Amino acid sequence: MILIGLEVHVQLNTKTKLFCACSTNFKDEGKPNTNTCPTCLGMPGAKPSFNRGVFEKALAVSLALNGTISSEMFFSRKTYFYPDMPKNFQTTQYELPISQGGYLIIKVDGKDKKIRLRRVHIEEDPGKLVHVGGDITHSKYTLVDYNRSGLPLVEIVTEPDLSTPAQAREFMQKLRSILQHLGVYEDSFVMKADANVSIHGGNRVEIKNITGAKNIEKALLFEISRQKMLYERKTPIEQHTRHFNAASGITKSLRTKEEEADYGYIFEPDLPLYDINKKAVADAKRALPELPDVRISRFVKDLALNRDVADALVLVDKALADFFEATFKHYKNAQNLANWTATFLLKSLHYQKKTIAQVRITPQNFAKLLSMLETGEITNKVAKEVLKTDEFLHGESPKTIVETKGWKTLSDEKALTRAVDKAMKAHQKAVADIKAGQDKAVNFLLGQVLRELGVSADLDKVRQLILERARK
Amino acid sequence: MSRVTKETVKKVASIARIKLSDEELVRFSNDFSDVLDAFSKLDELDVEGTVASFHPVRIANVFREDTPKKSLTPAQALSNTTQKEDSMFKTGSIA
Amino acid sequence: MIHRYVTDVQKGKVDAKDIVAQAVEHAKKLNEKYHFMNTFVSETDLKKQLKTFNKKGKLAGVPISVKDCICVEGTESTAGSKILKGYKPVFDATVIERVKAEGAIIIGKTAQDEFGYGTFGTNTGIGYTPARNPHDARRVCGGSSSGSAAFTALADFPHLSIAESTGGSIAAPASYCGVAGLTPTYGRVSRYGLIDYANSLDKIGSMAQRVRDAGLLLEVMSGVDSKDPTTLNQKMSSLLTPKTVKGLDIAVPKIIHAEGVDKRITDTVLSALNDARINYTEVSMPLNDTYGVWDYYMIAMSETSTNLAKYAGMRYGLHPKSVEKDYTTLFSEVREQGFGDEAKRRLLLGTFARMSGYRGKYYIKAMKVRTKIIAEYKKILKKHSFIVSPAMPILPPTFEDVSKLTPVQVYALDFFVSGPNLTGMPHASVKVGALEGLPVGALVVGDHLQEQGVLGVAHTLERGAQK
Repeated sequence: MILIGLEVHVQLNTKTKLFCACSTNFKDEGKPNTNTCPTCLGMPGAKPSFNRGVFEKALAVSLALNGTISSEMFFSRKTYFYPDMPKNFQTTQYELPISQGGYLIIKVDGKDKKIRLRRVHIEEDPGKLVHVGGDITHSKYTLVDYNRSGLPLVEIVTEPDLSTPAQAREFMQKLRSILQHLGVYEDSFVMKADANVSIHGGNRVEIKNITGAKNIEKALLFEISRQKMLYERKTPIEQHTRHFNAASGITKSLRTKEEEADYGYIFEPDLPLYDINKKAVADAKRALPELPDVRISRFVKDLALNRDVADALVLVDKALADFFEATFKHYKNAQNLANWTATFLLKSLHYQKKTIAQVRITPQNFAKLLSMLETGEITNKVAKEVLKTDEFLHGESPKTIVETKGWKTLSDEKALTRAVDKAMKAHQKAVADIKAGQDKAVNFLLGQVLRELGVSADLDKVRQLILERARK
Repeated sequence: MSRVTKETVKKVASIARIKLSDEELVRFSNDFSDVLDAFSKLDELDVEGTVASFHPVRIANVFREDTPKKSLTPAQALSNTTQKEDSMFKTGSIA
Repeated sequence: MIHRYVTDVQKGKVDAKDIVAQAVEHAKKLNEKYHFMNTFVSETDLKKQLKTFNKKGKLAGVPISVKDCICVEGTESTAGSKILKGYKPVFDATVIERVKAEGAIIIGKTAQDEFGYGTFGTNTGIGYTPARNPHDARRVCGGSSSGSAAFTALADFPHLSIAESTGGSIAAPASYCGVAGLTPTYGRVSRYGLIDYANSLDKIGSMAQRVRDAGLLLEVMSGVDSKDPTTLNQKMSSLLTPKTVKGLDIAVPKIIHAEGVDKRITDTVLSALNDARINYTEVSMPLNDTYGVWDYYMIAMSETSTNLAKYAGMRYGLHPKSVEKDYTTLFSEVREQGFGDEAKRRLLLGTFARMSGYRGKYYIKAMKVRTKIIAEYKKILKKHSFIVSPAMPILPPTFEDVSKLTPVQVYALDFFVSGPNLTGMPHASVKVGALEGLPVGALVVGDHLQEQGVLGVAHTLERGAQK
């Protein structure tokens, strides 16, 4: 009996920080402390001011997650000491968050599972620490870059409704898709989560600050097996906090500085109260863009796509689904397009370690490629090869690529026959096997012919020829 | 009114991250008790149904537009400390 | 006096450079004895200001001293605390920007109780010397804007002071030093650049020898500021010319007859009302009388304990020379060495008041009690428009007398000034007489945004006292 709950932190893609007008446009690995001001540095005398853009985006997130929007919202001070905190209190939301409740649906064994949410709230990011001469568990001294300090985050807290590490990963993926469809997420953002896990009704262990869906799954897999081992040995598990090391794949207990930290929450007196009236909420709800679940349904209903393919298109990367729809304007075989997009195109991108947004493939070019395949101008193998070329990824038209590389389908009878005869001559045994009815031998000869002719050989014609001539 | 124990003051001091000498502990424990006695007057007052005033005047719904303004230069940001390295603020290890 | 001087500067009849030089020289001499200034602005900075100031401004050429907790770019601003020694802000507080835009010349940062934690000006930070009362150097100035009040009283040249009040820190020292002190409605003046004491109680205000001049300074500083979202965004009455108010029936709280109040002070204030032909009615304020001071302290300490968290020897102020020890040890040491007694006391009490288990009983309750006390004030002010009382119940004590008081005994003396501060109501302290050669100040309180009326009553009382 496994209970997993997540507290996910995601940045919202506003132009400025949560409480100051510093630009959010800087590189995480760039020069430190270039985007700071008295407010996000916690300088004595500075005061915060609330970014309207953050409010609007956080409201959209809350609505997309089916939360109940609070009629009154206030910020709170959560006091604790850490060098990445410019004021040694975090301005966050405690009693009056922007929304409570809500849910997100993931697919488990082909069925919908509702993961309930406890709340969504707005808070600021702290700075970034560099542990010189070691890591978080041991170092000589610490350096701090406050560029990230004050970046706007939403924290999404789930109920412990997740039952497996895979479900946790699914949750993160679905959440990211929702955020992408809302337009509040950038590919460069990293989603972080604290994961709480307990087994067999025991105490829960918190693993703090895990980066990305894959690591969350890994961390949970390790932690659950660790807890299972302890359980089998009848060793009680204490409630405590751990840190996940992505490189080694293990969780380690953190020597908690604060023990049971008393955050001593007070309402943030430097910021006003925010009334959120019903009309504003209704307007915001109406203005929400198409969300993943609706889009997937639309693909299945209107375009007759297979549900799994629709899921893959929409949930892996919104930009991929966008690309699919843009290409659909030029190429009307939806199922074929969907399959090619969700499998071979995606594979090619993964191989290049790029997202669709990072390459210059145009919808027109992709449509053209599939048309060329449909008419037989190129073979299936060639189409896949074109997808892998740098030229295609840089926006070159498939027609040009095929011409340059001489990949037009080779269906000239004479040339094909010559190659088939050559292969048959070299592999008499195979011919005999074919005569005996062994299909494997046909494939073998096919392979030999392709080695000779290359990827542009018309596979069907070659196969036909082999069968004809071998049986003669 | 019960006197506040040294243990309580010690616990509060650790949350507030200040170290107190033994002499300070005794002195502040007495002050604590005196002040809490005075504060306890408020126990008499019934505030059932009263809304809290986090500000003395109503302040609501003030937003800032999402338009970037110039930040400080790193030199300005670091100008008030001698503990810096590679354009970053320097402090002890957190281990 | 200020108005005439400014007009002369605007017309080119007077060279501000001379007045400022005079002011600074005089201040430096007096500072040896009275310790009202923590830091003088550098010569270079002064020269620069004198070269570029707005000669047409409403404060053209006026030397201005600023309470140390208000940030002045490039000038050490420590809020009177060792833990901020060396802090040179990289920005001006909004009020500084505004007065500079009107041609004022900032000359120095005045002495105060550390972070504002004091009634007498005696809770100075480690290594700081308390300001002495200009009327009797053995006595305190009142706090926490002690230096501002003392310097204002001592200046025999045009001068204004920007001060700050959380629980009475403008009214008390103004009264003890015999000058005019104005504390505006909470939210009228931007707190951007004010080193916080308690954010829902802090107000920047003005001090001058005359009510009218204090009004001018407050007017220049007032108004909404996008950098401080707790500023009020509404039309506000002008404070440039105090209007005399007539036909009043103001309220005087019955607590003036309490045992802890020096009867002579009460008589002086009541006589001033009579001399000014202002009718008054004695009123009961049971909630404020019993709970006002303690409610104020509970809120102030809770908020301030979070404000003090940032002082950890990292980006500004007192910090270690090397970082060989771990982070927690380093900053605990800085806080141990940098905070004075009263700062530690309020830090502890404030932390306690918002700890889980106590938070409901203290912090949250205090916020609800505030609502009730605001209601009590509003009811009386609706009927009587203004409340007048002494600012302080006793004459300025000697430093020796103060040293014998316990913290609670000191806090308890705030019972006239803490009410208007807790409720965020505008109030003025104005000299209405003297006893034993020591000034007596009257406190005038009005409802939210009634500064103009408060100024009027204070101005009327001031005129009466001058006769």
